[in-house]
Amino acid sequence: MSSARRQPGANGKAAPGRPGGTRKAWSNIAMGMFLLPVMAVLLPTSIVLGVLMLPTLAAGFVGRGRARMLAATVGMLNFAGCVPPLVELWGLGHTLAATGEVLGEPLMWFGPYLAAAFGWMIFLTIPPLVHRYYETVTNNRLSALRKHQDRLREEWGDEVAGDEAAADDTSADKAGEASAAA
Amino acid sequence: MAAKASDQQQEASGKRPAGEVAIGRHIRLRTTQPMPQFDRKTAKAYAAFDKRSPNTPMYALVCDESAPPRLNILATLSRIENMPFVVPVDWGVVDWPDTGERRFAVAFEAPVGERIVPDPERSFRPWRDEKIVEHVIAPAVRVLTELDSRGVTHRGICLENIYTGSSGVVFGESVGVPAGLIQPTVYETIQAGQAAPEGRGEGTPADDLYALGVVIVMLLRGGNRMAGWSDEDAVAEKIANGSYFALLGRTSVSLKLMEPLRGLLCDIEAERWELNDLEMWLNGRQLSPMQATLPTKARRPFTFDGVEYISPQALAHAMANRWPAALQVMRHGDMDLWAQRNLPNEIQANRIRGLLVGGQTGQSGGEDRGLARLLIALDPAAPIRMRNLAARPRALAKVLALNYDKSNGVRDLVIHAILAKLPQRWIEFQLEGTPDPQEIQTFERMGFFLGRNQPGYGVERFIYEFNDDWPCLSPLVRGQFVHTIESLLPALERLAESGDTPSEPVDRHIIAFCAARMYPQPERLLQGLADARDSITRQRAILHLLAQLQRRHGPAKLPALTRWVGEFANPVVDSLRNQKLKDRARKALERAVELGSLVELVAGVDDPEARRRDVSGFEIAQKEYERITREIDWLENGGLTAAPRIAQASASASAAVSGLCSGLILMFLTLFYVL
Repeated sequence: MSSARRQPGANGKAAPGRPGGTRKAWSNIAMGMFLLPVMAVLLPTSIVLGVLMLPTLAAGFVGRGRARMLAATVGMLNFAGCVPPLVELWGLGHTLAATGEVLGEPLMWFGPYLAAAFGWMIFLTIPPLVHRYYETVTNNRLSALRKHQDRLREEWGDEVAGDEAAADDTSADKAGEASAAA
Repeated sequence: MAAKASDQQQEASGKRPAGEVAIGRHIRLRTTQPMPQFDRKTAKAYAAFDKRSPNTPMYALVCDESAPPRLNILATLSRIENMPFVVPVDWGVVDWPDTGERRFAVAFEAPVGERIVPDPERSFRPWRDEKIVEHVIAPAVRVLTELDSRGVTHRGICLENIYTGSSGVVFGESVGVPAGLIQPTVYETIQAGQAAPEGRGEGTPADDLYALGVVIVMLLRGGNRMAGWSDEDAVAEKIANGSYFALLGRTSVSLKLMEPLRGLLCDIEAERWELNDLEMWLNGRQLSPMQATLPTKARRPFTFDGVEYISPQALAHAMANRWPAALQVMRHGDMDLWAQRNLPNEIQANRIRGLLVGGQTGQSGGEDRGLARLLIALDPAAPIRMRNLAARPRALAKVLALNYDKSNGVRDLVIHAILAKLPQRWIEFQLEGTPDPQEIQTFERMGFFLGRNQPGYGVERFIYEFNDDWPCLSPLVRGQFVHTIESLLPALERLAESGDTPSEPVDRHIIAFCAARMYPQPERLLQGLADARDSITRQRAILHLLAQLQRRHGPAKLPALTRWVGEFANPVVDSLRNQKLKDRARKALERAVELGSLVELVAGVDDPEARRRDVSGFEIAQKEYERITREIDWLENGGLTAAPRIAQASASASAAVSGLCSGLILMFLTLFYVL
């Protein structure tokens, strides 16, 4: 038959030109075709955001596997820090000249970069706290589970734990006591 | 009824003169006053009296538990009135002083006269014909007719058991020992005489008529021609010459008595005189005298152990009494030719040939079986004989019961004979009549019980199933004569009171006794006992059996037995897994012991609903425990604190905190710019 009807590779990876990959590529192209005109129309804003959100871009590269979450953490605060320069830009008429004016003002850089640094700091300080939290949860849960097990043993005997040897010993002791009593 | 009344009386009356025990409501037995003249082989006689008429001479037989009386005909015989026959007046189980045992006693009105012949083994003055007819035959006909109408046999008609009465003779009792057990062999027919005493069985009226014929002959002769003979020789003489000539010898008999004697002593049961014939003769109707019957003869004799035998019956008799030599003859193999050429009955000859060709095996048991079959084929009317077993098929159950404790090997031979289907072969080989399918079915049932070894079956069940008047032979109740299911628990209660109790309150005998005597049969419990995979299942089945016994037959309170059974039930309580259920069961057990109720005990200790809940709850708890163990393992192995999980959770938490902060900032800025 024709090569166009060939099945995906045996290793499970998508073969070139498979439907999923094609769809993603088309999605990226569509997004690009939508954003490019928007960026062209809002060019001053795009330039200001492009410059002031460089920390987010850096986080995207640095984070590797965790890139999305680091970029999201840094990016949300970074964007919030970009709001005053954007308001300033739009207040100056949203022109390329205003762009230069805004970017030439050092104070306008301070806010976004400080917010991005704060986001980065959050990302670095949260894990030890989470670790401690989960350790506490684990200990509490272990304690509760062991108590539950003890209650089950108390109610049903050692056999409930599948501890046949212990149970047999107990039975033998009881039988011995019974025969001694008899 | 009488037995029950006796028991109640014994319990109720605390004070009674020393040396006296009560039989029923009115009879008292004097344990210190033996009456050896009425002793039977397995039952001692003691003086007795009726409180209502103390001057009436009475005696009581105190029976041996290993050879119990004929319990199933006691009530029937006690209803006979105004007959020259010693009938039971009352009976029951009595507490025997100083032994701690309970024995079965039967009270009789004592015959007023002496035995008609003080010592039958010695010669005495012959009786005149008229005296015999008037004083012996006439009362005998009355007694035997009465017994026949009630469907029972006497099986004890012999000179030793006939007494002088006010008018004629009085026939002695016939219930004190198992039927035929103490009857001298000379009074037995050839077939019954060939059987061991315990293998003669209840017999038929024809056996009683034959015994009457022997009594007449001895009175005519003035003694027993065969006195001092061995049983084997006496029977051999009867086979060789016929009973009539063997017993009379050269004694001449008047024409008057020749007629009934030939009729009564006829060796072919089908041709023997019946009661009607004797009664007609007594009323004066003359019948033509029968010719004395002789056994079938072969054309040529067969030489066995150096002696020539012309009839197959005589040959079989000799072979049965010399078993090792008979086995040699069977192995040698020339009997088939002799049978083929010399026996007049072709069917019989073919059977013998078939057995000899196909029945010779190299194994000892197989040889015994083969020889037993050969003897049946040679003399089909004779009892089943195998080594030292010789019994009529219908008496096999009694033979086993009587020999259960003995080390003579008869017990195993009976089992062997039944499992080898010898009784069925015996029925099949009969030359006269047609096989009775019901009888064959009975023997099949016997084989069924003997072939299974589970509790409630086996030899023990066989004994009680086919001897409905046999007392329980369990060592636990031995010496207490437990012959009814109602008397079983009181006997166990007495054992418990004595304190000398084994760990289990029942054994194979008691289980088999219950299985045979309880109605409806506790089949499910027996199944439970048979399928007991573990000791707890077995103990539960035993508890339920005892509870059912108390529920059905009482008594309501059994304090000592309940205490004993309570100890026995402890492992059953311990087998419950749930502690609460266990505590509840233990409390119920204590309450049941206080009440003396086995029914309460079982209801508390082994409530099926509680046990079901225990089992299902335990399964659920076990699964829950397993699940928890898995979760603990997971947590201990860093289920929540593993680095990837922490990283994942941290990233999410960071994003969330960042989102929150940025949201606050945006809100703040919005407010700042708007306001």
